[in-house]
Amino acid sequence: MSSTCCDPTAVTTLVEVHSAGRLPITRLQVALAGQPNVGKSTVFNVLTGLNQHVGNWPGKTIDQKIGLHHHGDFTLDIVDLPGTYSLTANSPEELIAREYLLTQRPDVIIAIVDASILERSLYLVAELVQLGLPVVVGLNMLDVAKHNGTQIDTDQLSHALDVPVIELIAAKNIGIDTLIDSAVDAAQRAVAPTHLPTLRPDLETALAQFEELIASVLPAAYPLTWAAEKLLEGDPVIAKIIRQEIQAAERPALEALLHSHPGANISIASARYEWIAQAVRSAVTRQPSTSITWTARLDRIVTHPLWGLGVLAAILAGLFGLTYAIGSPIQEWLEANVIGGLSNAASAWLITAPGWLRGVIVDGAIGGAGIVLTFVPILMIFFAGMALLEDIGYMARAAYLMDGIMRAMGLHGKSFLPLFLGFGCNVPAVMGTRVIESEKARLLSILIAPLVPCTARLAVVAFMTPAFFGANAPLVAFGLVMLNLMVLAVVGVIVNRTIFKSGQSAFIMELPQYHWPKTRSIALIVWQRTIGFIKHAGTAILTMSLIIWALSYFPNG
Amino acid sequence: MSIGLDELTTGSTAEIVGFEQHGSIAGRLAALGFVPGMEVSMVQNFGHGPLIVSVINTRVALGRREATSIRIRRTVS
Repeated sequence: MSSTCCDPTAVTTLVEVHSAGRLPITRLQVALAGQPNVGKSTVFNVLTGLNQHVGNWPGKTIDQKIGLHHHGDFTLDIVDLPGTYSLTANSPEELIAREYLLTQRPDVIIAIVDASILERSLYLVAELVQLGLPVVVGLNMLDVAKHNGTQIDTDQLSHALDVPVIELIAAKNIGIDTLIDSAVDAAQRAVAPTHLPTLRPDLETALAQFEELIASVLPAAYPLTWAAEKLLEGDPVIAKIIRQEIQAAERPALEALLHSHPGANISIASARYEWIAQAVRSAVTRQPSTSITWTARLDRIVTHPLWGLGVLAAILAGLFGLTYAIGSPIQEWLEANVIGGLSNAASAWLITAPGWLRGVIVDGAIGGAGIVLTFVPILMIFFAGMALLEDIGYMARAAYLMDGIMRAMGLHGKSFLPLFLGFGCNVPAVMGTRVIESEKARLLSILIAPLVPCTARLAVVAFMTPAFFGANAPLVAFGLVMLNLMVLAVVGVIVNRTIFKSGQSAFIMELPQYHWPKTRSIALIVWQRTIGFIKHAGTAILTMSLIIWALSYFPNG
Repeated sequence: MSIGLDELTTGSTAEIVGFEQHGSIAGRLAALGFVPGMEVSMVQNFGHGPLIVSVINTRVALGRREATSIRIRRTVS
């Protein structure tokens, strides 16, 4: 099991404390679930503040955020699950989320739902209620829903869904305390929802057949009905586990059953939407809104093939302009005063030391990794710009616009985001490729991300060209960058045609509603990415600069 | 008679009938609300390249191939 996804020991510290499970429970394990763009991160940040730890899910390059929240007599270990639309194994995020829920069995799941797109964001809840864990729903963005003419009777919705539903405006810190009260209460009662989506009769029959077939071989972590339904949906991960475990004699029956209901995945999705529709019908009234939403208005320009590209070009130019106007002077100042001062001081202090020792510290460490650190202010500005564009919902539009160009290189519209991040620094660019679902497109993006000219390289170009080309320097610098991008494109096309021979990967992407930027979320992202970069500078980059120094110093000194 | 979602013109609405194939792409689309009986409206379709549709109040950008795989029936709006 651990081979398929998550190592169950990943969050041991949290689990061990609680594993005794005796009353009074003072420490609770809480999983925060939700679809992308519903405000889940905002809730997490409000709950944990700076009291959060960012790591990786075992074996994956996907951020694992864990934080602490104190609430009366309780300490809550909150695990921020990756944002996913469903719990079928369509992406690494979905696998991580469900493996975590099934193997770690948190005391309660808090599911964040966007009231302004209620039905769609309840889809994940329709899956969560089937896991046999207590669920509490946080109904976020009520203000937006109201503005769009949607009135939600929360009590009625809670009654119809048979789970507690708490009103939230996370961005304004409204309702969070009530949400936690309700979650603690649900965790203590430890009752799982019983009102579940109902399937078509013939699918129910198939479900029963699956249950009978797999009951004896199913790993204990998976609830039987849940696993049977996933098999019916054609979930490749569960099917693989069962194929490995099942007796040879049963195998033909299993394969026959697996192929007996093509399209069951669509019927099951329909059943979940029907479950949602029943609840929503009784609890929601919608006034036909005549006003065109801001999102629609902005998108007319922003996603237009011509105006949209103009907007994109202007935004990128503005971001670069800002980065260089503010970041470059700071970088030069740091280089001249801090790094320069430091290496002078070190030289003076090490005056009696052997030449190689002075070299390793002054030229290797300070001159190598130290210089890299002076780029931190430039990076921070760049990260802030990217986080802002992401936060307001623009990034998905950029990916949509660039899909055609990216596709020509065998990439994906979503590859544009991480590659553009590469202009700031290649390290987060490679890390950012995780948003691409298709493995081939992801690998190709990782391969060409280091070819994107990053700020440090651009700074070198800007510094060197005037020394060699005088007045022609801007032209030469521009030409070099263009050449660089052309090489990148050519490498992309060649690798795609020869090594990967990939078919086109599917392009399915939500264009979230625009909303005002949340400074707190942006500041946290900038902080976390900057810390991540400094850690790299202190380890990998320091090691490499020492090796390069050694190669240039020895054997001749 | 059903047609592909890619044939729906900007501003028109339609009802989803089903999918050409029932693989994992169809499953992903279904999770986003593209299930039979659901209403979709075309936000932007230039006849080539990716398009934007609106389904249950959300905007989704789709590649042309993905859109073609969704079968629809035009509704009078």
